[in-house]
Amino acid sequence: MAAETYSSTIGARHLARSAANLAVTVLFAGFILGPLLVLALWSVALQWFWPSLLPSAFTTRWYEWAVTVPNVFRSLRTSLLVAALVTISTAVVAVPAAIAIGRFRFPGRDLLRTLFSLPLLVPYISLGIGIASFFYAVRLNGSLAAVVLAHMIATFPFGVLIVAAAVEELPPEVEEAALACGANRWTVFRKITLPQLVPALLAQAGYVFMLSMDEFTLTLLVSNPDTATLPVQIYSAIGEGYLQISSALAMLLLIPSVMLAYVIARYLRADVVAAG
Amino acid sequence: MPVDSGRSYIATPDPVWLALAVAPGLAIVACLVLYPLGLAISYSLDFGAGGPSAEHYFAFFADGQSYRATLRTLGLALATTVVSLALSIPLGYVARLSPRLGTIIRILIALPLAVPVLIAGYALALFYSENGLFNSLLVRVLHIASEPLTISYTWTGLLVACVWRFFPYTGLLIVSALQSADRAVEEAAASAGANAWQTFWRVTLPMIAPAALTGGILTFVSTFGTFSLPLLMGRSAETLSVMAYRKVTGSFDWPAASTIVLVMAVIQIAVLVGIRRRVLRWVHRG
Repeated sequence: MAAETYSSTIGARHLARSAANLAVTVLFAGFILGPLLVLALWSVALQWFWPSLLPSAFTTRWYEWAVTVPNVFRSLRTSLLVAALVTISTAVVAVPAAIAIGRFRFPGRDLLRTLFSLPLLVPYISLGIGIASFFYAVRLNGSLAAVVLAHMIATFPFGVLIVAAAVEELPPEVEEAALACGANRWTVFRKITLPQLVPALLAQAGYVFMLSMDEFTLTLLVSNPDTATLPVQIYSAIGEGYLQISSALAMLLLIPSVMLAYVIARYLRADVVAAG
Repeated sequence: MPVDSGRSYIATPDPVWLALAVAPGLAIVACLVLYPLGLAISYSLDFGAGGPSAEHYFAFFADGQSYRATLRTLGLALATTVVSLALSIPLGYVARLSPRLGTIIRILIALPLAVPVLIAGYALALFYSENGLFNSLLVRVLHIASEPLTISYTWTGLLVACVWRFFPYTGLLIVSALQSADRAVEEAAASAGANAWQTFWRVTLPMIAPAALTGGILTFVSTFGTFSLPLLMGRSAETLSVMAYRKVTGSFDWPAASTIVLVMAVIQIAVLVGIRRRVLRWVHRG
C-alpha cells in the first residue's frame, strides 16, 4: 500500500517533469521558428486578415514580383562582386599575418594579436562613423573601393583568428623534420605548412564571403545608391515596398544564407567564430 | 626530445619575412581602424575647429535625450543578457535528456546565427505586430490577453528581437557546458543529501560559470553595439547607435556622432576588460 502510493508519486512527478520539458521545448521552438514561419506565410499569402491564424488564400505571384523589384539584381551583382573582392583581399592580407602569429614566437606577438582583433573590441557603429567621416573627407565615400575596405574591417579579424587557430594546431615537428632533412624554409612552407592549411583556408574564405554578403551597418554608412549592396537595397525595399513582396524577397535571400551557414558550420570550429 | 629543436624553429623566425608577413595587416589596422578612431576623437574634441574643447562631451552628458538613450541601450544589453542566461538553464536540462533532443535544441539555438540580421528584424517585426501571429495566438487561441499587445517597434519588442538574435552566444556555450558537466559529481551531491535546488546552486552552477561568463559577455556586447535591429525594430526606442546614425544622416553632425560612438566604445571596452576580470575573480573565489 505504502509502496504503491510511493510509486504513484514518483510517476506523477515524472509526468510533471516530462510535461515541463515538453513545454520548454515547444515554447522555445515557437519563439525561434515563429517569426520565420510568419515570413514564409506572408510571402505566399493572397489575403491574411486579423485575427485568423493562417492566410485565407495563397498565391505564388509575390515571388514573380519580387524579382522585378527595381535594383534588386543590380545590388545582388554588387554584393557578389564586393564579396569576391573582400574574400581575395582579406586572404592576401590576413593569411600571412595569421601564419606569422600562429606559428612563431617573437616579441610583440601578443600586441599584434590584440591589434588584429581590435575591430572586435569596439562596436561596429563606432568604426562605421569613423571610417565614413574618413572616406567622406578624402572623397572616397560611395565608391566600390570604400565598400570593399569597410567590409575588410569586419572580415579581417576573423580571417586572422580562424587561420591562426588552425596553424597553432599543426604539430611543428613535421616542419622541423623537413628542415633537418635539408629543405629550406620556403620549401617547408610551400610543401608542408600550406597543404595542411587548405581546409582552414577554405573555411576562412567561406566565412569571410558570408560576412561580406550579410554586412549592413558599415555598408549603409559608406555606400551610395550606385554601390548599394543587397542588404542595403533590401532595407530601402522594406521601407517603401509591400509587405508580401518584401517577404518574398526576404525568403529568397534566406535560403542561400541558411545553406551557406550550414556548410560553414560543418567545417568551422565554433569557438573561433564565437570569438567575435 | 623534439622540444629543443621545436623551440628553435618556432622561436627563430626570419625577421625580414616576419615583417613582410605582418606589414599588410598592420597597414589595414592602421588605416581602417586606428586612423578613423583617431579622426573620430579629433572631431569629438573639435581639433579641426579651433579646439581642443570638451564641449561635445558636455553637450552629450547634459542632454536628457542622449542620457536616456544611454540608459535605454545599457538596459537593453543587460536585460537581453539576463533573459539569455535564464533561458539557457532549462534548455540545457532538456538537452541532457537524450542525445537526439540535445541535437534538436542546439540546432534551434544556432538557427538565428544563419539568418541575416536585416531579415531577422523584418520577420520579428511581422510576427509581433499588433495584428500579427503572436497576438492572434495570445488573443484567439490561448485567451491570455483580451486585446492585442503592442510589442513591435517598442523597447520590449527590441528586447525580444535582441534575445532572438543574440541568445545563441550564451545558449550554445551554456548548453554544451551542461551537457559535458560531470553528472557523477551531481549524483554524489544528491546522495549526500542535497536537494535538487542545492545541487544546482552549489554543484552545477559553479561548473557552468565560466561558459556563462563568456557567453553572457558576448551577448551583452553584441546587444550593446547592435545597429540594424534597433534601426528596424526600435522606432520608439532609439539606441545610442541609431542616434549616432541619425546625427550623421540628419544634419551631417560628425562631431556629435563621433562623441556618441566614442562613449559607446569606452563603455564596451570597460565591460570587456573591467567586468570580465572582476567576475572571473568572483567565480574563482566562490
